[in-house]
Amino acid sequence: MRHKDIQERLHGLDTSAADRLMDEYPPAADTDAQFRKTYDRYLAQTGEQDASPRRSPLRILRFAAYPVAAAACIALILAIAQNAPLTRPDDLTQQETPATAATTTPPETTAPLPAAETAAIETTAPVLATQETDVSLPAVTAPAVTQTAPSGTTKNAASATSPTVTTAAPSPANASPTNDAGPAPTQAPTEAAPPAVTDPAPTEAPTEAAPAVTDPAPTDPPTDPPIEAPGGVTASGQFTVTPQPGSDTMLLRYELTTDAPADVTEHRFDVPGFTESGRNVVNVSANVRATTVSLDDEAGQHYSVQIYPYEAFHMTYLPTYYTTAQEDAANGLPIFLLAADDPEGIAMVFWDDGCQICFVISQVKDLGQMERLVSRIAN
Amino acid sequence: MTDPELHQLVKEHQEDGFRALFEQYYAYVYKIVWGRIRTYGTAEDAEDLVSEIFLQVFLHFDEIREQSLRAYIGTVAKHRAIDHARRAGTAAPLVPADDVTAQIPSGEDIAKSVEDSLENERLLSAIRSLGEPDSTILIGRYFYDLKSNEIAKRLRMTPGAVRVRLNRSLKKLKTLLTHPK
Repeated sequence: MRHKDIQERLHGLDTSAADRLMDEYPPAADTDAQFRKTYDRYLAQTGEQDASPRRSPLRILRFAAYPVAAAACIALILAIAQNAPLTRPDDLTQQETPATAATTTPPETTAPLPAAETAAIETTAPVLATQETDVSLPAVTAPAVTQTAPSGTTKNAASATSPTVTTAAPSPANASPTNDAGPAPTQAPTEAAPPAVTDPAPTEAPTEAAPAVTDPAPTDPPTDPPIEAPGGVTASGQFTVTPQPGSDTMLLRYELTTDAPADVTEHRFDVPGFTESGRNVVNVSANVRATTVSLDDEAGQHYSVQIYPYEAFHMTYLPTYYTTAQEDAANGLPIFLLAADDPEGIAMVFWDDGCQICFVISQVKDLGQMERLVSRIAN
Repeated sequence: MTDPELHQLVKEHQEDGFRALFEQYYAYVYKIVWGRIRTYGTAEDAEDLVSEIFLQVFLHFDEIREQSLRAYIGTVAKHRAIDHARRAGTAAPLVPADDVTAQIPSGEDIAKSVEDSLENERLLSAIRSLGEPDSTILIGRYFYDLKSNEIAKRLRMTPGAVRVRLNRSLKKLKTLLTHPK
Protein backbone atom coordinates (compact mmCIF):
# COMPACT_ATOMS: atom_id res chain seq x y z
CA MET A 1 0.00 0.00 0.00
CA ARG A 2 1.43 3.34 -1.01
CA HIS A 3 1.50 6.45 1.11
CA LYS A 4 -1.06 8.06 -1.15
CA ASP A 5 -3.42 5.12 -0.82
CA ILE A 6 -3.35 5.36 2.94
CA GLN A 7 -3.90 9.08 2.81
CA GLU A 8 -6.81 8.75 0.40
CA ARG A 9 -8.40 6.00 2.44
CA LEU A 10 -8.09 7.92 5.67
CA HIS A 11 -9.35 11.12 4.12
CA GLY A 12 -12.19 9.22 2.54
CA LEU A 13 -13.47 7.76 5.79
CA ASP A 14 -17.14 8.33 6.32
CA THR A 15 -18.14 10.82 8.97
CA SER A 16 -18.80 8.36 11.74
CA ALA A 17 -15.53 6.49 11.16
CA ALA A 18 -13.63 9.77 11.03
CA ASP A 19 -15.31 10.91 14.23
CA ARG A 20 -14.35 7.69 15.96
CA LEU A 21 -10.81 8.03 14.73
CA MET A 22 -10.57 11.61 15.95
CA ASP A 23 -11.93 10.54 19.32
CA GLU A 24 -9.34 7.82 19.47
CA TYR A 25 -6.48 9.96 18.21
CA PRO A 26 -7.37 13.49 19.21
CA PRO A 27 -5.60 16.25 17.36
CA ALA A 28 -2.72 17.13 19.57
CA ALA A 29 -1.43 20.55 18.74
CA ASP A 30 0.92 23.22 19.84
CA THR A 31 -1.98 24.99 21.47
CA ASP A 32 0.25 27.52 23.13
CA ALA A 33 1.49 28.94 19.84
CA GLN A 34 -1.94 28.79 18.30
CA PHE A 35 -3.53 30.47 21.26
CA ARG A 36 -0.91 33.21 21.15
CA LYS A 37 -1.65 33.80 17.48
CA THR A 38 -5.39 33.92 18.08
CA TYR A 39 -5.16 36.07 21.16
CA ASP A 40 -2.89 38.53 19.40
CA ARG A 41 -5.45 38.81 16.63
CA TYR A 42 -8.11 39.39 19.26
CA LEU A 43 -6.06 42.13 20.87
CA ALA A 44 -5.41 43.71 17.52
CA GLN A 45 -9.11 43.75 16.70
CA THR A 46 -10.31 45.06 20.00
CA GLY A 47 -7.45 47.36 20.84
CA GLU A 48 -7.28 45.66 24.20
CA GLN A 49 -3.67 46.56 24.63
CA ASP A 50 -4.68 50.16 24.70
CA ALA A 51 -7.33 49.37 27.25
CA SER A 52 -4.66 48.90 29.85
CA PRO A 53 -4.20 51.53 32.57
CA ARG A 54 -1.91 53.41 30.21
CA ARG A 55 -4.98 54.49 28.29
CA SER A 56 -5.87 58.05 29.12
CA PRO A 57 -6.95 61.22 27.39
CA LEU A 58 -3.28 62.09 27.22
CA ARG A 59 -2.43 58.94 25.23
CA ILE A 60 -2.35 61.04 22.08
CA LEU A 61 0.90 62.35 23.48
CA ARG A 62 2.50 59.04 22.63
CA PHE A 63 2.32 60.01 18.99
CA ALA A 64 4.21 63.14 19.81
CA ALA A 65 6.76 61.07 21.66
CA TYR A 66 7.99 59.37 18.49
CA PRO A 67 9.41 62.47 16.78
CA VAL A 68 10.81 63.64 20.10
CA ALA A 69 12.56 60.34 20.65
CA ALA A 70 13.84 60.32 17.07
CA ALA A 71 15.20 63.83 17.46
CA ALA A 72 16.88 62.85 20.71
CA CYS A 73 18.50 59.86 19.05
CA ILE A 74 19.79 61.97 16.16
CA ALA A 75 21.12 64.54 18.58
CA LEU A 76 22.88 61.85 20.56
CA ILE A 77 24.43 60.32 17.45
CA LEU A 78 25.64 63.74 16.30
CA ALA A 79 27.06 64.47 19.72
CA ILE A 80 28.89 61.16 19.80
CA ALA A 81 30.21 61.78 16.31
CA GLN A 82 31.53 65.14 17.44
CA ASN A 83 33.29 63.46 20.33
CA ALA A 84 34.68 60.61 18.24
CA PRO A 85 38.21 60.99 19.64
CA LEU A 86 36.86 59.48 22.85
CA THR A 87 36.91 56.02 21.26
CA ARG A 88 40.42 56.25 19.87
CA PRO A 89 42.73 53.56 21.22
CA ASP A 90 45.11 56.05 22.73
CA ASP A 91 42.26 57.57 24.67
CA LEU A 92 41.17 54.14 25.85
CA THR A 93 44.54 53.47 27.34
CA GLN A 94 44.18 56.59 29.39
CA GLN A 95 41.02 55.15 30.90
CA GLU A 96 42.42 51.77 31.86
CA THR A 97 42.43 52.33 35.56
CA PRO A 98 39.08 52.31 37.30
CA ALA A 99 39.89 55.57 38.99
CA THR A 100 40.39 57.21 35.65
CA ALA A 101 37.30 55.59 34.29
CA ALA A 102 35.20 56.73 37.17
CA THR A 103 36.23 60.28 36.79
CA THR A 104 36.05 60.35 33.04
CA THR A 105 34.42 63.43 31.71
CA PRO A 106 33.88 64.46 28.16
CA PRO A 107 36.85 66.16 26.64
CA GLU A 108 36.82 69.87 26.25
CA THR A 109 34.67 70.85 23.37
CA THR A 110 33.59 74.14 22.02
CA ALA A 111 30.11 73.56 23.37
CA PRO A 112 29.19 71.71 26.56
CA LEU A 113 27.45 68.41 26.06
CA PRO A 114 23.92 67.81 27.30
CA ALA A 115 23.71 66.05 30.64
CA ALA A 116 22.24 62.85 29.13
CA GLU A 117 25.10 62.51 26.71
CA THR A 118 27.63 63.01 29.45
CA ALA A 119 26.03 60.23 31.43
CA ALA A 120 26.12 57.94 28.42
CA ILE A 121 29.79 58.55 27.92
CA GLU A 122 30.52 57.97 31.57
CA THR A 123 28.78 54.63 31.54
CA THR A 124 30.69 53.39 28.54
CA ALA A 125 34.09 54.03 30.04
CA PRO A 126 34.00 51.35 32.78
CA VAL A 127 32.82 48.80 30.26
CA LEU A 128 35.82 49.46 28.09
CA ALA A 129 38.08 49.11 31.10
CA THR A 130 36.52 45.74 31.94
CA GLN A 131 37.12 44.51 28.44
CA GLU A 132 40.76 45.31 28.83
CA THR A 133 41.05 43.16 31.95
CA ASP A 134 39.24 40.22 30.39
CA VAL A 135 42.12 39.61 28.03
CA SER A 136 43.91 37.54 30.64
CA LEU A 137 41.02 35.08 31.09
CA PRO A 138 42.49 32.10 29.18
CA ALA A 139 45.09 31.67 31.89
CA VAL A 140 42.33 30.54 34.23
CA THR A 141 41.98 27.26 32.32
CA ALA A 142 45.57 26.28 32.96
CA PRO A 143 44.88 24.22 36.14
CA ALA A 144 42.61 21.95 34.13
CA VAL A 145 45.67 20.52 32.42
CA THR A 146 47.08 19.23 35.64
CA GLN A 147 43.66 17.99 36.70
CA THR A 148 43.24 15.58 33.81
CA ALA A 149 46.87 14.66 33.32
CA PRO A 150 47.11 12.20 36.26
CA SER A 151 45.18 9.64 34.32
CA GLY A 152 48.58 8.39 33.29
CA THR A 153 47.56 7.85 29.75
CA THR A 154 48.42 9.59 26.58
CA LYS A 155 44.88 10.33 25.70
CA ASN A 156 44.12 13.00 23.20
CA ALA A 157 41.35 15.53 23.32
CA ALA A 158 38.49 13.14 22.86
CA SER A 159 39.76 10.73 25.43
CA ALA A 160 40.06 13.55 27.90
CA THR A 161 36.36 14.01 27.59
CA SER A 162 35.70 10.30 27.42
CA PRO A 163 37.10 8.52 30.45
CA THR A 164 35.64 5.21 29.40
CA VAL A 165 37.67 5.16 26.25
CA THR A 166 40.51 3.41 27.98
CA THR A 167 38.23 0.75 29.36
CA ALA A 168 38.38 -2.72 27.96
CA ALA A 169 35.33 -4.72 27.03
CA PRO A 170 32.54 -3.33 29.16
CA SER A 171 31.62 -5.05 32.33
CA PRO A 172 28.61 -4.54 34.56
CA ALA A 173 30.68 -2.08 36.54
CA ASN A 174 30.61 0.22 33.57
CA ALA A 175 26.92 0.38 33.53
CA SER A 176 24.90 2.57 35.72
CA PRO A 177 23.42 1.26 38.98
CA THR A 178 20.14 0.78 37.23
CA ASN A 179 21.78 -1.66 34.92
CA ASP A 180 21.02 -4.69 36.99
CA ALA A 181 17.46 -4.76 35.77
CA GLY A 182 18.59 -6.57 32.66
CA PRO A 183 21.26 -9.10 31.83
CA ALA A 184 24.65 -7.51 32.04
CA PRO A 185 27.36 -8.11 29.51
CA THR A 186 30.31 -10.08 30.71
CA GLN A 187 32.00 -10.51 27.41
CA ALA A 188 31.62 -9.17 23.93
CA PRO A 189 30.98 -11.65 21.15
CA THR A 190 33.91 -13.55 19.81
CA GLU A 191 34.14 -11.37 16.79
CA ALA A 192 34.02 -8.23 18.79
CA ALA A 193 35.71 -9.16 22.03
CA PRO A 194 39.28 -8.11 22.28
CA PRO A 195 41.32 -8.57 25.42
CA ALA A 196 41.43 -5.69 27.80
CA VAL A 197 43.65 -2.92 26.63
CA THR A 198 44.22 -0.09 28.98
CA ASP A 199 46.00 2.34 26.74
CA PRO A 200 44.60 2.64 23.32
CA ALA A 201 47.12 5.14 21.92
CA PRO A 202 50.57 4.52 23.33
CA THR A 203 52.38 6.26 20.53
CA GLU A 204 50.93 9.69 21.01
CA ALA A 205 53.03 12.23 22.82
CA PRO A 206 51.59 13.72 25.99
CA THR A 207 52.24 17.18 24.70
CA GLU A 208 49.57 16.67 22.09
CA ALA A 209 47.00 16.42 24.80
CA ALA A 210 47.74 19.78 26.33
CA PRO A 211 45.86 22.08 23.99
CA ALA A 212 42.74 19.98 24.08
CA VAL A 213 42.47 19.63 27.84
CA THR A 214 40.81 23.01 27.94
CA ASP A 215 37.54 21.19 27.30
CA PRO A 216 35.21 22.55 29.96
CA ALA A 217 33.76 19.22 31.06
CA PRO A 218 36.54 16.68 31.22
CA THR A 219 35.30 14.66 34.16
CA ASP A 220 31.89 13.56 32.94
CA PRO A 221 31.65 10.22 31.17
CA PRO A 222 30.41 10.40 27.61
CA THR A 223 26.89 9.56 28.49
CA ASP A 224 24.35 11.07 26.24
CA PRO A 225 21.42 12.93 27.70
CA PRO A 226 18.61 10.77 28.99
CA ILE A 227 15.98 10.03 26.44
CA GLU A 228 12.39 9.70 27.32
CA ALA A 229 11.11 6.55 25.77
CA PRO A 230 7.57 6.51 24.47
CA GLY A 231 6.33 4.98 27.70
CA GLY A 232 7.75 7.84 29.71
CA VAL A 233 10.79 5.83 30.73
CA THR A 234 14.13 7.55 30.67
CA ALA A 235 17.24 5.91 29.45
CA SER A 236 20.78 6.94 28.78
CA GLY A 237 23.72 5.39 27.07
CA GLN A 238 27.43 5.14 27.51
CA PHE A 239 30.15 4.59 24.98
CA THR A 240 33.28 2.55 25.33
CA VAL A 241 35.93 2.11 22.71
CA THR A 242 38.33 -0.77 22.65
CA PRO A 243 41.14 -1.33 20.19
CA GLN A 244 41.57 -4.79 18.83
CA PRO A 245 45.10 -6.05 19.31
CA GLY A 246 46.81 -7.01 16.10
CA SER A 247 44.27 -5.05 14.11
CA ASP A 248 43.66 -1.44 13.32
CA THR A 249 40.01 -1.86 14.13
CA MET A 250 38.40 -0.10 17.02
CA LEU A 251 35.27 -1.32 18.64
CA LEU A 252 32.70 1.13 19.80
CA ARG A 253 30.22 -0.21 22.24
CA TYR A 254 27.18 1.63 23.36
CA GLU A 255 25.28 0.45 26.34
CA LEU A 256 21.86 1.63 27.13
CA THR A 257 20.89 1.72 30.74
CA THR A 258 17.46 2.35 32.00
CA ASP A 259 15.43 1.88 35.09
CA ALA A 260 12.76 0.01 33.19
CA PRO A 261 14.39 -1.98 30.41
CA ALA A 262 11.26 -3.79 29.43
CA ASP A 263 9.61 -0.54 28.46
CA VAL A 264 12.37 0.85 26.31
CA THR A 265 11.66 0.24 22.70
CA GLU A 266 13.77 2.84 21.05
CA HIS A 267 17.00 4.63 21.58
CA ARG A 268 18.65 7.05 19.30
CA PHE A 269 21.74 9.14 19.11
CA ASP A 270 22.69 11.84 16.73
CA VAL A 271 26.01 12.57 15.18
CA PRO A 272 25.64 16.24 14.41
CA GLY A 273 28.02 17.80 11.98
CA PHE A 274 28.62 14.67 9.97
CA THR A 275 27.38 14.00 6.51
CA GLU A 276 27.11 10.63 4.95
CA SER A 277 29.15 10.20 1.81
CA GLY A 278 28.47 6.57 1.11
CA ARG A 279 27.47 3.22 2.44
CA ASN A 280 27.75 -0.38 1.55
CA VAL A 281 26.52 -3.67 2.88
CA VAL A 282 28.93 -6.54 3.18
CA ASN A 283 28.15 -10.14 3.97
CA VAL A 284 29.96 -11.13 7.11
CA SER A 285 28.58 -14.63 7.04
CA ALA A 286 25.68 -16.46 5.51
CA ASN A 287 23.17 -14.83 7.82
CA VAL A 288 24.97 -11.77 8.99
CA ARG A 289 25.56 -8.60 7.13
CA ALA A 290 27.41 -5.49 8.17
CA THR A 291 26.92 -1.97 7.00
CA THR A 292 29.86 0.20 6.13
CA VAL A 293 29.09 3.86 6.32
CA SER A 294 31.33 6.66 5.20
CA LEU A 295 31.00 9.82 7.18
CA ASP A 296 32.62 13.19 6.57
CA ASP A 297 32.83 15.88 9.19
CA GLU A 298 32.71 19.62 8.56
CA ALA A 299 36.45 19.78 8.06
CA GLY A 300 36.28 17.17 5.35
CA GLN A 301 37.78 14.50 7.57
CA HIS A 302 36.68 11.10 6.40
CA TYR A 303 35.45 8.37 8.71
CA SER A 304 34.61 4.87 7.77
CA VAL A 305 32.32 3.22 10.25
CA GLN A 306 31.35 -0.39 10.05
CA ILE A 307 28.29 -1.44 11.93
CA TYR A 308 28.27 -5.08 12.85
CA PRO A 309 25.48 -7.05 14.35
CA TYR A 310 26.02 -7.69 17.96
CA GLU A 311 24.74 -10.87 19.45
CA ALA A 312 24.41 -10.68 23.15
CA PHE A 313 21.73 -10.74 25.74
CA HIS A 314 19.92 -13.22 23.55
CA MET A 315 19.26 -10.59 20.97
CA THR A 316 20.40 -9.99 17.47
CA TYR A 317 20.79 -6.68 15.77
CA LEU A 318 21.08 -6.61 12.09
CA PRO A 319 22.20 -3.46 10.39
CA THR A 320 19.89 -2.29 7.74
CA TYR A 321 19.11 0.70 5.68
CA TYR A 322 16.57 3.25 6.45
CA THR A 323 14.96 2.50 3.13
CA THR A 324 15.16 -1.26 3.16
CA ALA A 325 13.28 -3.70 5.29
CA GLN A 326 15.33 -6.57 6.51
CA GLU A 327 13.50 -7.03 9.75
CA ASP A 328 10.97 -9.38 8.21
CA ALA A 329 13.56 -11.59 6.64
CA ALA A 330 16.07 -11.62 9.42
CA ASN A 331 13.83 -11.68 12.44
CA GLY A 332 16.37 -9.38 13.97
CA LEU A 333 16.29 -5.89 15.28
CA PRO A 334 17.28 -3.18 12.91
CA ILE A 335 19.74 -0.39 13.13
CA PHE A 336 18.61 2.53 11.09
CA LEU A 337 20.98 5.10 9.82
CA LEU A 338 19.14 8.12 8.61
CA ALA A 339 19.97 9.82 5.40
CA ALA A 340 22.56 12.54 5.39
CA ASP A 341 20.08 15.17 4.36
CA ASP A 342 18.45 14.92 7.73
CA PRO A 343 18.73 18.40 9.14
CA GLU A 344 19.90 17.09 12.45
CA GLY A 345 22.74 15.14 11.00
CA ILE A 346 23.38 11.46 10.96
CA ALA A 347 21.28 9.53 13.35
CA MET A 348 21.23 5.94 14.34
CA VAL A 349 18.16 4.43 15.83
CA PHE A 350 17.95 1.15 17.60
CA TRP A 351 15.05 -0.89 18.64
CA ASP A 352 14.82 -3.85 20.83
CA ASP A 353 12.12 -5.85 22.40
CA GLY A 354 12.85 -4.69 25.86
CA CYS A 355 16.27 -5.16 27.31
CA GLN A 356 19.58 -3.46 27.32
CA ILE A 357 20.97 -2.36 24.05
CA CYS A 358 24.53 -2.96 23.18
CA PHE A 359 26.18 -2.87 19.83
CA VAL A 360 29.55 -2.62 18.30
CA ILE A 361 30.78 -0.26 15.71
CA SER A 362 34.03 -1.21 14.22
CA GLN A 363 36.11 1.33 12.43
CA VAL A 364 39.28 0.74 10.54
CA LYS A 365 40.95 3.98 11.44
CA ASP A 366 43.28 5.33 14.01
CA LEU A 367 42.23 5.82 17.57
CA GLY A 368 42.30 9.60 17.44
CA GLN A 369 39.71 9.67 14.72
CA MET A 370 37.61 7.10 16.45
CA GLU A 371 37.67 8.97 19.71
CA ARG A 372 36.76 12.12 17.90
CA LEU A 373 33.76 10.41 16.41
CA VAL A 374 32.78 8.98 19.75
CA SER A 375 33.20 12.35 21.33
CA ARG A 376 30.92 13.89 18.74
CA ILE A 377 28.36 11.17 19.23
CA ALA A 378 28.50 11.29 22.98
CA ASN A 379 28.24 15.02 23.22
CA MET B 1 -13.44 23.78 34.04
CA THR B 2 -17.12 24.65 34.03
CA ASP B 3 -18.67 27.49 32.08
CA PRO B 4 -19.13 29.74 35.14
CA GLU B 5 -15.53 29.09 36.15
CA LEU B 6 -14.32 30.02 32.69
CA HIS B 7 -16.42 33.18 32.71
CA GLN B 8 -15.05 34.09 36.10
CA LEU B 9 -11.47 33.49 35.02
CA VAL B 10 -11.92 35.57 31.89
CA LYS B 11 -13.38 38.34 34.01
CA GLU B 12 -10.49 38.28 36.46
CA HIS B 13 -7.69 37.65 34.01
CA GLN B 14 -8.74 37.70 30.45
CA GLU B 15 -5.69 36.09 28.86
CA ASP B 16 -5.58 33.18 31.29
CA GLY B 17 -9.29 32.65 30.89
CA PHE B 18 -9.16 32.63 27.11
CA ARG B 19 -6.18 30.33 27.22
CA ALA B 20 -8.07 27.88 29.42
CA LEU B 21 -11.05 28.09 27.08
CA PHE B 22 -8.81 27.51 24.07
CA GLU B 23 -7.13 24.49 25.59
CA GLN B 24 -10.40 23.02 26.80
CA TYR B 25 -12.20 23.24 23.47
CA TYR B 26 -9.36 23.07 20.96
CA ALA B 27 -9.71 19.36 20.19
CA TYR B 28 -13.50 19.72 19.96
CA VAL B 29 -13.28 22.56 17.46
CA TYR B 30 -10.49 20.94 15.49
CA LYS B 31 -12.52 17.77 15.15
CA ILE B 32 -15.50 19.66 13.76
CA VAL B 33 -13.32 21.59 11.36
CA TRP B 34 -11.19 18.71 10.18
CA GLY B 35 -14.24 16.52 9.78
CA ARG B 36 -15.55 19.06 7.26
CA ILE B 37 -12.45 20.08 5.37
CA ARG B 38 -10.23 17.00 5.48
CA THR B 39 -11.16 15.94 1.96
CA TYR B 40 -9.82 19.11 0.40
CA GLY B 41 -8.06 21.17 3.07
CA THR B 42 -4.67 21.04 4.65
CA ALA B 43 -3.60 21.03 8.27
CA GLU B 44 -2.71 24.71 7.89
CA ASP B 45 -6.24 25.46 6.66
CA ALA B 46 -7.62 23.69 9.70
CA GLU B 47 -5.41 25.60 12.08
CA ASP B 48 -6.33 28.91 10.48
CA LEU B 49 -9.97 28.05 10.67
CA VAL B 50 -9.72 27.00 14.30
CA SER B 51 -7.99 30.28 15.05
CA GLU B 52 -10.78 32.19 13.31
CA ILE B 53 -13.42 30.32 15.27
CA PHE B 54 -11.81 31.05 18.60
CA LEU B 55 -11.35 34.66 17.61
CA GLN B 56 -15.08 34.82 17.00
CA VAL B 57 -15.73 33.21 20.38
CA PHE B 58 -13.38 35.62 22.16
CA LEU B 59 -15.00 38.62 20.49
CA HIS B 60 -18.48 37.56 21.56
CA PHE B 61 -17.58 35.96 24.84
CA ASP B 62 -19.55 38.43 26.95
CA GLU B 63 -22.69 37.76 24.94
CA ILE B 64 -22.82 34.02 25.54
CA ARG B 65 -23.57 33.93 29.22
CA GLU B 66 -26.99 32.42 28.76
CA GLN B 67 -26.04 29.39 26.73
CA SER B 68 -23.59 26.57 27.03
CA LEU B 69 -20.12 27.44 25.85
CA ARG B 70 -19.75 24.06 24.20
CA ALA B 71 -22.96 24.47 22.24
CA TYR B 72 -22.05 27.99 21.17
CA ILE B 73 -18.53 27.06 20.16
CA GLY B 74 -19.77 23.99 18.31
CA THR B 75 -22.30 26.05 16.36
CA VAL B 76 -19.73 28.68 15.42
CA ALA B 77 -17.30 25.97 14.38
CA LYS B 78 -19.84 24.19 12.17
CA HIS B 79 -20.95 27.39 10.48
CA ARG B 80 -17.39 28.52 9.87
CA ALA B 81 -16.41 25.14 8.50
CA ILE B 82 -19.39 25.16 6.12
CA ASP B 83 -18.49 28.69 5.01
CA HIS B 84 -14.98 27.51 4.37
CA ALA B 85 -16.24 24.61 2.29
CA ARG B 86 -18.44 26.95 0.29
CA ARG B 87 -15.57 29.30 -0.39
CA ALA B 88 -13.52 26.34 -1.51
CA GLY B 89 -16.34 25.28 -3.82
CA THR B 90 -16.69 21.87 -2.28
CA ALA B 91 -20.06 22.21 -0.60
CA ALA B 92 -22.71 19.83 -1.91
CA PRO B 93 -24.64 21.53 -4.71
CA LEU B 94 -28.38 21.97 -4.45
CA VAL B 95 -30.18 19.36 -6.49
CA PRO B 96 -33.50 20.07 -8.20
CA ALA B 97 -36.31 17.87 -6.90
CA ASP B 98 -36.82 16.09 -10.19
CA ASP B 99 -33.18 15.05 -10.27
CA VAL B 100 -33.25 13.48 -6.85
CA THR B 101 -33.85 10.01 -8.25
CA ALA B 102 -30.60 10.29 -10.14
CA GLN B 103 -28.84 10.76 -6.82
CA ILE B 104 -30.05 7.47 -5.35
CA PRO B 105 -27.10 5.11 -5.38
CA SER B 106 -27.36 1.99 -7.49
CA GLY B 107 -26.78 -1.51 -6.14
CA GLU B 108 -23.28 -1.42 -7.58
CA ASP B 109 -22.49 1.78 -5.75
CA ILE B 110 -23.75 0.35 -2.51
CA ALA B 111 -21.64 -2.76 -2.91
CA LYS B 112 -18.57 -0.65 -3.60
CA SER B 113 -19.36 1.54 -0.64
CA VAL B 114 -19.62 -1.47 1.65
CA GLU B 115 -16.40 -2.86 0.26
CA ASP B 116 -14.63 0.46 0.82
CA SER B 117 -15.97 0.61 4.32
CA LEU B 118 -14.66 -2.87 5.10
CA GLU B 119 -11.28 -1.99 3.59
CA ASN B 120 -11.14 1.13 5.70
CA GLU B 121 -11.96 -0.85 8.81
CA ARG B 122 -9.17 -3.29 7.98
CA LEU B 123 -6.76 -0.42 7.52
CA LEU B 124 -7.77 1.21 10.80
CA SER B 125 -7.54 -2.06 12.61
CA ALA B 126 -4.04 -2.65 11.22
CA ILE B 127 -2.97 0.85 12.21
CA ARG B 128 -4.27 0.34 15.72
CA SER B 129 -2.40 -2.93 15.99
CA LEU B 130 0.90 -1.12 15.39
CA GLY B 131 0.71 0.27 18.89
CA GLU B 132 1.96 3.57 20.19
CA PRO B 133 3.53 5.82 19.11
CA ASP B 134 3.49 4.32 15.62
CA SER B 135 -0.26 4.48 15.21
CA THR B 136 -0.37 8.08 16.37
CA ILE B 137 2.43 8.96 13.97
CA LEU B 138 0.62 7.34 11.06
CA ILE B 139 -2.67 8.98 11.89
CA GLY B 140 -0.93 12.32 12.38
CA ARG B 141 0.82 12.03 9.04
CA TYR B 142 -1.92 10.60 6.87
CA PHE B 143 -5.14 11.62 8.55
CA TYR B 144 -4.26 14.99 10.04
CA ASP B 145 -1.70 15.72 7.29
CA LEU B 146 0.91 16.85 9.75
CA LYS B 147 4.56 17.11 8.84
CA SER B 148 7.20 15.04 10.56
CA ASN B 149 8.49 17.95 12.58
CA GLU B 150 4.98 18.85 13.76
CA ILE B 151 4.34 15.27 14.85
CA ALA B 152 7.75 15.19 16.49
CA LYS B 153 7.01 18.33 18.46
CA ARG B 154 3.73 16.93 19.66
CA LEU B 155 5.16 13.56 20.61
CA ARG B 156 8.35 15.07 21.99
CA MET B 157 10.48 13.08 19.61
CA THR B 158 12.97 14.19 17.02
CA PRO B 159 11.80 14.60 13.42
CA GLY B 160 14.33 12.00 12.35
CA ALA B 161 12.95 9.46 14.78
CA VAL B 162 9.43 10.18 13.54
CA ARG B 163 10.47 9.61 9.95
CA VAL B 164 12.18 6.37 10.83
CA ARG B 165 9.21 5.10 12.78
CA LEU B 166 6.87 6.15 10.02
CA ASN B 167 8.86 4.24 7.47
CA ARG B 168 9.04 1.23 9.70
CA SER B 169 5.32 1.38 10.43
CA LEU B 170 4.46 1.53 6.75
CA LYS B 171 6.41 -1.63 6.13
CA LYS B 172 4.67 -3.35 9.00
CA LEU B 173 1.34 -2.09 7.77
CA LYS B 174 2.02 -3.44 4.35
CA THR B 175 2.79 -6.83 5.82
CA LEU B 176 -0.31 -6.75 7.98
CA LEU B 177 -2.54 -5.89 5.07
CA THR B 178 -1.04 -8.28 2.56
CA HIS B 179 -0.49 -11.20 4.91
CA PRO B 180 -3.12 -10.92 7.62
CA LYS B 181 -2.70 -13.41 10.42
